[in-house]
Amino acid sequence: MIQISIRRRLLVGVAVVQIIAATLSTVLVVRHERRQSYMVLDASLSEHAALLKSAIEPPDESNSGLSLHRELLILQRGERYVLRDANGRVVAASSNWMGDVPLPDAPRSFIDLRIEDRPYRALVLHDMALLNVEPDEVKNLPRLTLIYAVRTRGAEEHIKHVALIAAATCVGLLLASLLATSWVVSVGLQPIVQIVERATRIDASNWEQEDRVEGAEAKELAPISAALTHMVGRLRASFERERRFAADAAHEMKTAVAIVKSTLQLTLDREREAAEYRQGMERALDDTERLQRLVGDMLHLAKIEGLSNDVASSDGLDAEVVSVAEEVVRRLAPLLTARQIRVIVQQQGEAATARMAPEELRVVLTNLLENAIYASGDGVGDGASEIRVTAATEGKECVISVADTGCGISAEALPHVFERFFRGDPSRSRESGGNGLGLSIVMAMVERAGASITVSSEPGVGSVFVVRLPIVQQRPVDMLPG
Amino acid sequence: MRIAVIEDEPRLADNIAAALREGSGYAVDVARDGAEGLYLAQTNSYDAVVLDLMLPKLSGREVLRKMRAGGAKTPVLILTARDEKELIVGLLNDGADDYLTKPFDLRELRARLQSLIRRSQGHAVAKLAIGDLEMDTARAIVRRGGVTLTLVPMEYRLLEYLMHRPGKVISKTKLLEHLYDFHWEKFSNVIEVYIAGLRKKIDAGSSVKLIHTVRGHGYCVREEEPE
Repeated sequence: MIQISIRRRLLVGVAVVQIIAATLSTVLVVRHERRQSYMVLDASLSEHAALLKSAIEPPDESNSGLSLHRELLILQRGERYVLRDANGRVVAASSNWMGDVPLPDAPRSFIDLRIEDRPYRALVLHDMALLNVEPDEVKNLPRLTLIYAVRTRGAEEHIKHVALIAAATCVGLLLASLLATSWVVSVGLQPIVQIVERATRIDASNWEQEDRVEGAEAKELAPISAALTHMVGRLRASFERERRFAADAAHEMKTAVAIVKSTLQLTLDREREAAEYRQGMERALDDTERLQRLVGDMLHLAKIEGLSNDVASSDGLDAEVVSVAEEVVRRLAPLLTARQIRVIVQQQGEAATARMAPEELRVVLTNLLENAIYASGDGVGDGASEIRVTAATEGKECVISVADTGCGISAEALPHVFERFFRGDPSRSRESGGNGLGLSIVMAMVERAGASITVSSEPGVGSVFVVRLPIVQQRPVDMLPG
Repeated sequence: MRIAVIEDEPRLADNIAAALREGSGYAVDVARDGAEGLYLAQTNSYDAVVLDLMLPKLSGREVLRKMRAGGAKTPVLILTARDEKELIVGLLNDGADDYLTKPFDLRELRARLQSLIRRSQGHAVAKLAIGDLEMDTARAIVRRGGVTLTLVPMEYRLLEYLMHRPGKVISKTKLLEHLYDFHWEKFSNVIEVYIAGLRKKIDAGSSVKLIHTVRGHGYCVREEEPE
């Protein structure tokens, strides 16, 4: 994953915007300055032209031509002019005037020229009226064209200067604003840094104290801190659950080992008859089998809970509920016979096929049946105990119910029956070999299969466990044409 | 000695009870949950209580607290699967006298119980002596004047109880209570039988009598005659 830097992003963003703004404003300033400079230049050209005009001596009766009072003209460096008559003949020109230029037709216009490869600004006046001459005073007054050119170098240099100053100012401002932005970003990110610091302080050993991950005072960070607090809370709860399970598991294991050990020690405590030793060994074997079952169940539970749902669906074959149930009953037959419990397996409606691997359904039904058998007590003699397993299809669900006529579960115990190591009646279930994990395994398997399990019970009457499994949908093969 | 074993695991409770009866010659009552255990401890006079922590109905710790709140001074030995120091410290502060972590050794359990009982009577070592009568409670040996005596288990238990309380007059009822499990009423005449047996074995060949009967009060072990 590429890490992004919020600070760098913000800085780059600000810099780009600033550069665009600086460029635009520099361009605008330069354009404005150029227009101003040329207006000034044009005004000065007009003045010069007026001066030139005033230096022209109109023709009178004594002479027919025009004369120019050159002494009245003081030409600055880089100024040139030419006066032509209507035929294009040069009437008068500055000494440095040279060449010919294409002229616009407008009576008065400003043009840009290149003379001797240098840029000039020129005023062109056609049919220029002469000063101090009434139009009808002099007959056949010559029509004159005046071109007055000035070098633009001064103006251009001024514009360049202004542009430089504008650009330098913009670059300075850009740098200053980047520094300011960097500082503002640092200050703005402070609450995030605080959250990170507080979150970093939380670990498995101290999260009892760090109850809330507070997002300082920033309103925008409230969702983050709330989410973190929530996450820590959930983690804590699940850790607490695991810790309790570990403690319970340790207690169960150590107790089971203590039983084996004490049985063996008791047997070896003194000299005994061979038959007594045999009895002791059998008891120890019995205790070891219980320990083995406990370890097996715990590993089984850990395995189921460790698997993801994807695994469940990938190895999921479909289970024919009734046939699996009948198989489980066959396996438990010796126990059922010994306790004189009758089991009835029923099918309601069409055959129900559950979306669960047959091996898993076998475990679920075995554990539910064993639970029902323990609940029914030893029941020897009365023969009234009965367990009813029913499978039915309801809509998109396959409903399996296991009902017993046993001792039932008290209202206080009912919400806890699926908890690990929970025993409704401790002494009774311990004696019958239950370790409090059977129903937890059922719950874990059912949940993994995306199904649900519920229990209802009436003390003294019996309990009903109902598993709702998704049924197998129509196979894709059936829907293919042809 | 009479011991209460409060343990919900039936097999373990049975094994402990059997080991204490067979190996130590104690009378043992078993309770399968905390409530029953507390009832036993409050209604009977025990020489020691073996208490499991994880119990249904009432936790072992609650039983201990309620016993101590009721003023019982009976030594309590805790059985626990957990051995975190905070837990142990808390239990000892709540009035427990000793603890064993599961899985434990039955011989160790017996030795610790014996030590607790001995301590509760103010004795530091396993050897008790009154005059030239010696008793090694650890090895279950009794000697008078250097001669080893052979006692039947019940005689030994009776003598042990009396020797733990030298000079004290113990009633017959109290002896029955501490030497037998439930329903001791039907054995009401056995104490006289065993006292007679003990007298024969201990005092017969000796000028100094050690076992005395205080009429109307009970029995007592001491060197000089009671007034």
